[in-house]
Amino acid sequence: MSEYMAVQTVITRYCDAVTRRDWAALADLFAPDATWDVIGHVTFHFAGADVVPGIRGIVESTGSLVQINTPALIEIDGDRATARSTIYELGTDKEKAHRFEEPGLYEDVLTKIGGKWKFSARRFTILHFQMDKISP
Amino acid sequence: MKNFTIALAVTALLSVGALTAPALANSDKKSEMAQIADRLAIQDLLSSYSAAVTRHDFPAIGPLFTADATWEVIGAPQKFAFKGAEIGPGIKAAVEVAADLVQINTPALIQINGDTATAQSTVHEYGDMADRSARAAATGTYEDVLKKVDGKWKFQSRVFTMRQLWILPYPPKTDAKK
Repeated sequence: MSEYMAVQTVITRYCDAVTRRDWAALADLFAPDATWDVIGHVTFHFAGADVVPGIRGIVESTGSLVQINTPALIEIDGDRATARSTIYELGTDKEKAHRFEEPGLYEDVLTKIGGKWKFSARRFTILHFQMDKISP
Repeated sequence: MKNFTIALAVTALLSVGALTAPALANSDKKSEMAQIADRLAIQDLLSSYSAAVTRHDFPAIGPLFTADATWEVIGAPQKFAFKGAEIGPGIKAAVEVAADLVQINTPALIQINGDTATAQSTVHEYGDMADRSARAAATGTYEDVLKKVDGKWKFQSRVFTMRQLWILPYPPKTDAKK
């Protein structure tokens, strides 16, 4: 697999793991000292060992959450890479009384550690948030 | 004489090394290029499927599948399962309950093993019902098995697990809570 494809695979694995709520798969994608930030109508910051439990807490506060990711724009420089991708999140609240849509932009820094690409930093900027009551 | 023989042997070994190292590197490179080409072809197949559904280009769907392929939807209110020649017409009937249907596919996670492969991808579908009485939005994940037939990758099986389905009022409301 080319380096470019390997980086794209890490980004896609992230969305797949969130959608499937596969927390072990998610943990494999981050460097030990990684950071994860959300900027928008809500803000979050997690670092290191707090990243995966932090994401898990957010995702499990929803009734369902599916992440649709676009192909990323990737720049590789040796063992470091940056990537930008747009995602579209669709979900419900815990009670499944409301549904929401949340497009946003991920800006990533990745590092190759032991031959595998990992996220060193992920920053998600929420571009829009809309929540509607689900009609019975 | 002995030293001369050893020197000759070392020279010979070095020559063999010099010849085989680039040969191996070239072979590795060729194999990596073939892997990349296979991955691109498989991603192209998945994207061609979603493009054909979005464009209602139903004649383009059948050729994407092997002759004995299966296509199945699970987790939806209605069960769909088609095989072989039924797949193209079956998907056409399923899609045409909507006046228009857009299928957005994500980059797939692909595993290749010789002439077979598996792929996982997420899709988002939305569209208006044929009578414009409602708008439907759905998400789900595709689990695919693929096979290389006469040099071309085809679907051997597609299983779509529906994860979310909403039937929304039509025309869309504008009083969304932000």
